[in-house]
Amino acid sequence: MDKDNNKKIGAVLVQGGGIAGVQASLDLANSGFKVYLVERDAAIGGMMSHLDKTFPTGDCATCIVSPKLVECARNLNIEILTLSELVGLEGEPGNFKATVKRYPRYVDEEKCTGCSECTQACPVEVPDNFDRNMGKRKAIAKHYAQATPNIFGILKIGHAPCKTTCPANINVQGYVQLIKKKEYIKAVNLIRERNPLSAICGRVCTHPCEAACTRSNADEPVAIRLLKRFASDKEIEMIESGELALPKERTPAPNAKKVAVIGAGPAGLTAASDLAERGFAVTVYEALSAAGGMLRWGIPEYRLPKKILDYEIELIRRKGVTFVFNCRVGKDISIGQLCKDNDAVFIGVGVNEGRPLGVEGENMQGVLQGVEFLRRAGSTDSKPEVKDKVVVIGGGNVAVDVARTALRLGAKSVEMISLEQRHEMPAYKEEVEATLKEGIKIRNGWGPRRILGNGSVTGIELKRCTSVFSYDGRFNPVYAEHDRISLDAEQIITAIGQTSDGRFLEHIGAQTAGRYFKADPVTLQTSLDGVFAGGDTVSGPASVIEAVAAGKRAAESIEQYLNGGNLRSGRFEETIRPVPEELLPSINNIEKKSRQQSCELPVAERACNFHEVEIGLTEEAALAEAQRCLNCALCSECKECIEACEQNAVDHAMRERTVELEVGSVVLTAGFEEFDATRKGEFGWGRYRNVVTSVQFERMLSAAGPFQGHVVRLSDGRETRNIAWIQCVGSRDSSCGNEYCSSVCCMAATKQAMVAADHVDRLDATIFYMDIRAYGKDFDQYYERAKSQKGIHYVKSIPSRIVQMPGTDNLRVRFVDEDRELKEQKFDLVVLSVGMEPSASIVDCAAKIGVELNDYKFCATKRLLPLSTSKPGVFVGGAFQEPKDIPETVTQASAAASMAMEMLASARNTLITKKSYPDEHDVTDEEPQIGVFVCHCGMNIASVVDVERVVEGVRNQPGVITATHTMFTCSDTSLSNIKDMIHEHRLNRVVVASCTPRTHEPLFRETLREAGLNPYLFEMANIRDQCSWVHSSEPDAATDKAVELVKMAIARAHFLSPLEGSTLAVDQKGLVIGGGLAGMTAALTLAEQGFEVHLVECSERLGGHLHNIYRTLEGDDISGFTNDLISRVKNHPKIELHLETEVAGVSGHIGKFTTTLSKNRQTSEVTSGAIIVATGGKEAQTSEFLYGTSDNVITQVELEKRLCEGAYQAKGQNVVMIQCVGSRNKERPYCSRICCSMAIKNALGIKKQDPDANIFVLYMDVRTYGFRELYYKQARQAGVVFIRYSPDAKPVIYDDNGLTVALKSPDFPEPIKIEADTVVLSTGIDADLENNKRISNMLKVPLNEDGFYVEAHTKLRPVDFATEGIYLCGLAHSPKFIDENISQARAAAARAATVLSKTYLDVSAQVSYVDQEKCISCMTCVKVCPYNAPFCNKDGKGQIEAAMCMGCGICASECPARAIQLHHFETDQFMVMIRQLFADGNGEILARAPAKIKGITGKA
Amino acid sequence: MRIQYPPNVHIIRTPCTGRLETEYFMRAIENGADGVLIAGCLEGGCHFIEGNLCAKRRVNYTREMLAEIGLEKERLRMVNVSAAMARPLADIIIDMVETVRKLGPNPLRQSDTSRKLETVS
Repeated sequence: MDKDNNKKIGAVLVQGGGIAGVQASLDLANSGFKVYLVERDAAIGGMMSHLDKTFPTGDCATCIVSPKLVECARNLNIEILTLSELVGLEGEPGNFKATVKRYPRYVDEEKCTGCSECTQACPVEVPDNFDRNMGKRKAIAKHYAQATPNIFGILKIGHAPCKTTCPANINVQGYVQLIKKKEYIKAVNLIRERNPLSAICGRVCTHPCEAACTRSNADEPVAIRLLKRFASDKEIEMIESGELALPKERTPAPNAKKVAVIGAGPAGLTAASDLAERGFAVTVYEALSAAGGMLRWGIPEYRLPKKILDYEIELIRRKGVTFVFNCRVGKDISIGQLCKDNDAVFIGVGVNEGRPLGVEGENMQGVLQGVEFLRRAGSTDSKPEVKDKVVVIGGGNVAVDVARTALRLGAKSVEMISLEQRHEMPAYKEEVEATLKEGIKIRNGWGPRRILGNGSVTGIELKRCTSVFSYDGRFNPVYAEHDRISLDAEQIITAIGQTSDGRFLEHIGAQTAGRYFKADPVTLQTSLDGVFAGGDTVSGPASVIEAVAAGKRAAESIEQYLNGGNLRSGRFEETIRPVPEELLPSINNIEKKSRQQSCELPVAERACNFHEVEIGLTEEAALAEAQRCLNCALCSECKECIEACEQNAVDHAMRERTVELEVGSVVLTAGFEEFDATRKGEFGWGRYRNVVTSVQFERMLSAAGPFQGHVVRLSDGRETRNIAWIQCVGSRDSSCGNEYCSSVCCMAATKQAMVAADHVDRLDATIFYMDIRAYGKDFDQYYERAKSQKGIHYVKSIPSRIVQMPGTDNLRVRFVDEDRELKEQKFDLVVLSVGMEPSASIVDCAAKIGVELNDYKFCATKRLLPLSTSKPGVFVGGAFQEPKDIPETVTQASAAASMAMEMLASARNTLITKKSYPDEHDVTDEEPQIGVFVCHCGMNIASVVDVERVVEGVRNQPGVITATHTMFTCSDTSLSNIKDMIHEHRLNRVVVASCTPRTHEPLFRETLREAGLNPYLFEMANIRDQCSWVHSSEPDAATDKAVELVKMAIARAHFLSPLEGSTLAVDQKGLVIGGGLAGMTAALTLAEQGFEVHLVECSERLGGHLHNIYRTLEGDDISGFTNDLISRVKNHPKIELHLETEVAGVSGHIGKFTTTLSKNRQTSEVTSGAIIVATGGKEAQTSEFLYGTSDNVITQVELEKRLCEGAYQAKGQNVVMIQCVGSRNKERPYCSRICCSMAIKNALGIKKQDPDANIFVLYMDVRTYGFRELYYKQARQAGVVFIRYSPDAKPVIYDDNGLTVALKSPDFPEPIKIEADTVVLSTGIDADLENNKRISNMLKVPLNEDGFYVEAHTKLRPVDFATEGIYLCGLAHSPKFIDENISQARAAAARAATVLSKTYLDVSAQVSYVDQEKCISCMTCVKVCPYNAPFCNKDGKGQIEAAMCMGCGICASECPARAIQLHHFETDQFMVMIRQLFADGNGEILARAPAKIKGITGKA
Repeated sequence: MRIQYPPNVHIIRTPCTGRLETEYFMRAIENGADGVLIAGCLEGGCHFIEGNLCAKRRVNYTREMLAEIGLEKERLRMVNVSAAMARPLADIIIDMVETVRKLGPNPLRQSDTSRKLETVS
């Protein structure tokens, strides 16, 4: 063995939590290794959890996979790391350091109880990727309904364009979602986190967010500004009605640091507000008589009522901000003084000097400055006088405001002169429209030349402006100087821009850039220490929201500055991450919804007054508008989940992190992703809504899917009548680079059609295919049933394109039919059977850890080493190795686990955890003392069921000592409370009324054990799933029912007994029956792990069929491989070889079997803890096609032998190969799986000898699945001719001085005759029926109709028998290739190792037992048990072997003498619940209850 | 899935429908259940291989017995559903309640509170 054994680490990292990863983890953990199961998704389950049913048995995928997932989650030695991926691997085999990246879930896995309150609270609905975007999910949700681990997670992909575009980065998506939820106050509060001027910006914001809105690409942007206004107005309404109080006035702490803010405009107000929030003492110095700046003096009342402005300023004042008005810095107080009195200064003054026109006559009387005009209009005392005929110069917002104000102040006519054309005007479109509506004229494309008049204005002369902007968008007006007009005017108001006050700049003395202060773009620091500046005074005239942003930025800097922190790091803007463009919601299929419009005051009511023109959205309109949001970032960070979560489990600040794990080995079980169907544009997926992928169709069929199992069209929700499947989309297709076959799609489509036929009456199903690859066990029979019983049409053709018919959305599929004619057929729905591809993340992972991939990015492996990657110590299993279906995936997963087990055998059991418990308290002689705990489950139960009434309703039930209710019974505190109560009240029964025992019973049982009580003294009532969830509209009835359910549970609790499972010593030896490839591999796998193995072979030599095989299709040398394998087996010290030995009898059970061996009529006995059946199969015999009559008719096996031994002369030969000889017919309905590849292997062998040899392969379907497809292509390229025949017209052979084969092919119009030098028959593989029957009788394991053994479960227990401790592999299971046999043999060994690695096995206590006195020896139990657990004992009575009992209770129900009971599900325990349910009083129910607890235990 | 169904339905847990004895069905009806619904795994999909088939046999037998003593067979019914079939199960329950309601109260019942019992494996 290895010399550095002691360095090996007994832990394995499994990458990929699909069914393969789950199986590998379970096998490893159950055989003594610590496992880290690393999964990229939020839950384990992989692709299988998406499936509806599985073929060929029709099992519900969820039903069979869920228990495995739960088992995985409960295993103490499996640590599941979801949202994680392996990104690095260092060290050497046996001793690796693995680096795992863990993505944030935003929910604490330890704290989350899975109660789903957060999902209920979350307003964000986004397409559910689990349902392949056909359904919706909440941003916080479980990955899928049965997700393991049962915890929630948040989907975040960054921040929405509205938020990232907003200068102040307001969480727009968040407040829009809150409005959708009618949480208006929360919405306003969320806005105010980034902008204290919510109601103001709701009116006057330039809303760059709307321009960025993704929705604008589909129809129109969401009316974000109006929504902000709506929520803010709601707040004001509530304050006015007294529903909501104004916030309390605060004063800064006496020792708070002081900040002076110069200017009470939007920048100053925001900075002041934010600084006050941060705890500073802020004083605002304002030159004018009130706060607001341009908001008060520049924006007219009809756009922004003073009431609104005053309201928001008041809110800021209440934060503790002091205002000093009429105090102009530089005149009334100096900057020096301010710096002296304060710890920091922020300059947020505006630019309010009007820019001069620079034309003749500007100084005449009657020419006014726009800003000055507005300022006076906004004041109460110095309103400007307005003349009848007013001309306003300018095309911006100020000009519009001036014009509309002039009109309201009494002007008879107002005309605006704008350089820009209408569409170029800088004023908002809606403002311009309102202006026009009010009767103001706008003259576009003209500029002022001179002002006319003499002393007083009489008019203005204009010149035509031919262009305003230069080619690069700069302001550069060009005039046609001679194109002039003159207008009459009594008053001219100019509004062509503003500039700053030069004297103020000079007074401050900080560095300037032109007319503005120079400030650091990040920190807003000026050249003066402690003096910051922001807003218009730095940037020049800008919007309100930009000023707000500057205020926020400054406040953040000032806090850092005053606290001595780094001003540049940890800034808010660093938290902003735009959603990557490719992840923005697709707008292709959005239902168009028009944008809601604001109500407006009628024009007639506007004139001559300053009433607010825009009225805002109605509540109805606002709610409809909020619905239009596409939730670009998925989670909106509205934080409703934080509030909803009673466990405080939600944490939006979680970050990605990496962890390092020490592991001995890595198993890659990364699975696959479906092919992206948009790459096959001719089928229209993504464009035509009724074209779906096969994965989408699975979700459609699933009762838990978006349509509850209804097969509907996505375009109109109509039930479908006819469906087409198109096979090989993204497989067997060099045009998309995927030349391999995806192996599963033929059967998956067949299954989908079969299931759909059950859902849809008279379904018309058509499957377009190339070859039907039904090569698996019982697959061909399934395919035949699909055709004959369900009438599913199979058309051998791949359509060239699909066209959607306008109007009906039906799909026209164009294809060439079997008569070689171009046809078109109409379908309601088309399913694309998309192929398999490895996910991008595993490709990336492989590159990082140094694992080689093949040409198609699957893991590179060799046929004879199917589980080894290029990196020693890293193994592979499942679809990442080669496309494969579930049984092969599960098999390979176990096999890959065996590779790790073998490598780490010496470190087995070194890192596993075993829990110890206190001694059990003996309750035998005690009266029942019951504790009842009723769970609120947050609001999950308590919002419907009156939990307190339930407690009161059951408090006086007999035996109840204590009854109480808890918020979350499963939380750590509640569980310790239960333990305390057990001790305090000496409870000997516990009843919990909460959720489902499926997920929570083990947890509570565990708590009982920790408190020293037997875990079976626990009972659960499910008042969540059975009351609050399903009767949510009937709280009284739900509460009544809950009381009844708890009473039933209490009644049953009286009848509970402590049970003790027994243990069973394990004979740690293996027995393998069969010495072929599978048997030898299984034996070696066990022996290499240190287990002794008996290998029994009936013939005189090892190797079985391997001796007939010389090469694989891929060219591996089999003879050398065989000899090596045989010698390793022969020389292995742990393997005891029994050649020429038959198994004569088997007795015992898992852990201890005794097998009688017979050799030369002498018998001996060997014992073992597990048995592996690997008895093989045989080459099928035939007498068809002149075999045995003509020497030139041979089998493929014979041909291979001759070719490899050089005995076959290919030169100039005409060879005809006939496939499916004696199979796929009534007598032998199954496919032998290997013959197509074998024929291709031999055909290529002949071609290698003589490229001119003519080879014709006559076939039904070519079944070269997976990467074998590449050789099929190679054979066709080499000139091998493949001719199809149909099963009802087989080829005919005659010998007339030479062989001739005649056939009628569906692909050729004329009959075909081929003269053949050699005819080669593919005869396939037969079960060794006689031998199998004998052994199946001895082991009591079943055979199928074809004589192969039947595994415990086709999909998930492919190498187990239903009888525990016996495993199956090799051709005895079904025909398969060498690599598959190796995997299966290793899998069987891995399964056996889960038994052999233990010295003792735990036997469940929940088993059946026979009352020997009552038994009448009828042996009904022996007949009905599906697991062979009952047997006839030496007294002639029935007895049940606990080690074999699975606890179903069938025997107990069938026993005519009532001699059998199933522990924990005893007749009395059922009956008392039934009686309780219908009882009127309480008394007599328990009359038959045992007065004291019976001392029965489950000991076998 | 939280699909609503009438609150007069109570669920009793069993490891497998194969554990259910004829007596339970009869006692439930004797004690006053208006109807008994047995929900087992899909046929061929039994967790314990064939327990649901045993139950089916017993349910059919009990139905005959009910008929013999003059009660409606429809009061006892077995259905096969899988773990992913919440919606169909709710529909079945609703249908069962309707069926039983049409039949009227169980004549064996003394009190007049309307109830129905159901078992699920």
